[in-house]
Amino acid sequence: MRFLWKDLRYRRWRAVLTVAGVASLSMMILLFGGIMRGLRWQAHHFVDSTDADVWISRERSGGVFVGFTLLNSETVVPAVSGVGGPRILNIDEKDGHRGVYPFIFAPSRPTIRKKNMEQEVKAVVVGYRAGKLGGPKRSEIARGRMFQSSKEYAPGRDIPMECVVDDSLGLEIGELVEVGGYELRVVGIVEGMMFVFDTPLIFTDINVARRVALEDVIYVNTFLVKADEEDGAADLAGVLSEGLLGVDVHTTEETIGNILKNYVDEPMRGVQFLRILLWIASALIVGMISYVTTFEKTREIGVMKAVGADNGYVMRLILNQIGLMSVLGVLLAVALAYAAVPFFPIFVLINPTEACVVSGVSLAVCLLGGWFAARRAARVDPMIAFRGEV
Amino acid sequence: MSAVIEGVGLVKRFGQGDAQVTAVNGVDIAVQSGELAMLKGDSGCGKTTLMSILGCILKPSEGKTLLEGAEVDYSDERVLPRLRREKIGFVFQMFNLAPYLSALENVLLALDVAGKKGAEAEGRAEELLRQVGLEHRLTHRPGQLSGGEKQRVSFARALANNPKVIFADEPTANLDSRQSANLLALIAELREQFGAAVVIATHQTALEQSADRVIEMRDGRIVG
Ligand SMILES: Nc1ncnc2c1ncn2[C@@H]1O[C@H](COP(=O)(O)OP(=O)(O)OP(=O)(O)O)[C@@H](O)[C@H]1O
Ligand SMILES: [Mg+2]
Repeated sequence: MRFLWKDLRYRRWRAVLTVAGVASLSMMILLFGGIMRGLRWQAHHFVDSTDADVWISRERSGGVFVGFTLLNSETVVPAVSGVGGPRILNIDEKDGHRGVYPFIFAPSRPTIRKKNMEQEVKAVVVGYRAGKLGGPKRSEIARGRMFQSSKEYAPGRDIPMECVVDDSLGLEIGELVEVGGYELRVVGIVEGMMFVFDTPLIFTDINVARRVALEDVIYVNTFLVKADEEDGAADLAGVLSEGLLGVDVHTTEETIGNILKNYVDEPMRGVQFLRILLWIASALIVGMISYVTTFEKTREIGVMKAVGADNGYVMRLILNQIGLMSVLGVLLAVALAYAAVPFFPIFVLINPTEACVVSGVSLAVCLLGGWFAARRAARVDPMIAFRGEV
Repeated sequence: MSAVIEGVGLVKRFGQGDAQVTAVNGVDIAVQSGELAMLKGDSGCGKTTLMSILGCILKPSEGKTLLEGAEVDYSDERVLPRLRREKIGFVFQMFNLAPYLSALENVLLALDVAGKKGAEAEGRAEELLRQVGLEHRLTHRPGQLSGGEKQRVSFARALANNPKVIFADEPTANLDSRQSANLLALIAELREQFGAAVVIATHQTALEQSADRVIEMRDGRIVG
C-alpha cells in the first residue's frame, strides 16, 4: 500500500484525471438511470393518485394515456354499474353515479396569464368529479380550495370555470389559464402533481374539461371504478371485461405498465444503449490510461521482476492501483450525481440500490480494462533491467 | 570452497539465420561461495548475457546452470522469480531505483517482493542502509542522491534478501574513480560479512586488485 500511494502521488495528475474520467462517465450513467427512474416515478405517482382500480376505455384504443379513447357517458355508466354490481365501490350513494366516474386526460398547450405576462406552457388538463376518482381530494390541496363542481351535465349550461393547478406552473390563486379558448381561474394549488417529462397537471371539473378540451360533447375519455374489496381489482376487471362490449378494461397496474412501455421503456432504449456505450468508454479510459502507465513503468516493472517479483505480484500492484482509482471514481460519481439532482433541468430520481449496482458495474468494467494493462505489465521482460529500453 | 553457482556448457544465441549472434559460446564457469570475481572483456563479448543466464533471468540456448548444486529449470516461469528473490542479488549499471521511493523504500520494495513487510522489514532496510553508510539519507529520493550514493542503495537492495550470489553489471560505469574505489571497498567488505559471492562485470582494470579472481571473456568464451 505504501508503494502504491507513493506511485500514485508521483503520477498524481494522471491519477486525478483517471478518477475524474471514471467519475464523470459513471455519473452520467447514474443520471441517465435517474431520468428513467424519474419518469417511472411520475407515471406511478399520478396514476396511483387517481385512486382508481380499473380503467375502462374504448375498445382497442390503447387507453387514455397512450392512445385516444372516447366513451359515451349515457351508455357506459349504466352498463358498467350493471355488470360490476356490488363489486364496485360506491363512493357516494347519493350522487347517483353508482361508483363509475368519468375522466378526461387532455395534453394541451395552455397559456398562463399572470399580472403582466403571458406564456404558453405544456400541461395536461385533467377533468374529474371533485372528491371522486381521478384527481386530488380536498385534503390534498396545498393552498386555496377545490374547484366548484358543476351540476348534472348539459351542454351550454353555465359551469364554474375554475381549476386547481400544480405549483410548478408558477401560478398564484386568482390568476388565469387559457385552454381551448376558455379562461380558467386558479382557485387552488397542488404540489408534485406532474405527469411524465415534468408535465404539470391542471385539474378541473369533468364538465369544464369536456368544454375546454372536447367541445362540449357528450363523450369523455375514460371511466374509472374502484373495487369494493381490498384486492378485488383484477377480479372486477375480469368481470367487466367479460360482461361489456365495445370497451377495453385495464387494471391500474396494466395502465401503468402501458404508460411505462410507451413513455419510458421504448423511447429510452436509446438512452439504455448510451449507458452501455458509456460503460465501454469507461473501460477504454481506464484501460488506456493503465496501458500507457505500464508502458512508462516498463523499466520499473522489469527491475521489480529482476529482483524476484512474480507475475502475480506485478498484476496485483497494477490492479490495486486501478482498483483504488476506480473506487474513488465511482464514489465521486455517486456524490456528484446526488449533488446534481436538484440542479437538473428535469426530474431525476436516483435510488441507493441503483447507485450501488451502477457503481458495481462501473468498477467491474474499469477493472476489466485495467486487467489487460496489468497482464501486459506482467509480461515485461526482466532483461530490461540490464539493457535499458529494448 | 564449494561452488554456489555453476554454468556448464552455456550457449546463448540471439536472432536467426544470417542475423544470428552467439553472445555466449560454450561457457563453463563456477562461482565459489563468498568469492569476489571480476568478469572483464571487451564490449559485446557477452558479459551481461552470461550474468543474466546465471542470474536466472535469461534462458540459455544450450547448457545448464546449477544453483547450490540443483539444476535451474528455466522453463518454469514460477520458479525463476523465486530463485532470484531468495538466492540472487543484482546491481545494475543504471541504478534502476524507483524515482518516487526514498532510499529506504527502494530497499523495502525488494523485501516486499519477497513477502517481508512491517516493522521487521523496515528495521532490516535501515540496518542495510546504515551498513552501506547511508543512515543519513534514508528519506532521500534517488533524484536527491549522488551516483555513488545511488549505487550504494542498489547494493543494499541487492543484499536485502540475503542472497548467495550478487551479480553486478558495470556498477561503477557511471561513477568517478574515487566513488568507484569506495564502492568496491564497500562491496569487498560487505560480501565477507554477508558471506555472499559477488560477480562484477567491468571495463575498469583498476578495480582488478580487490578481486579474488579475474575472469576474462572474449567473443562469448572464457579465455582466462
Ligand atoms: N536481445 C538480443 N538480440 C540480439 N543480439 C543481442 C541481444 N542481446 C545481446 N546481443 C548481442 O550479444 C552480444 C553480447 O552482448 P552483451 O551485452 O552480453 O555484451 P557485454 O559484454 O555485456 O557488452 P558491454 O560491455 O558493452 O556491456 C552483443 O554482440 C550483442 O549485440
Ligand atoms: Mg554489458
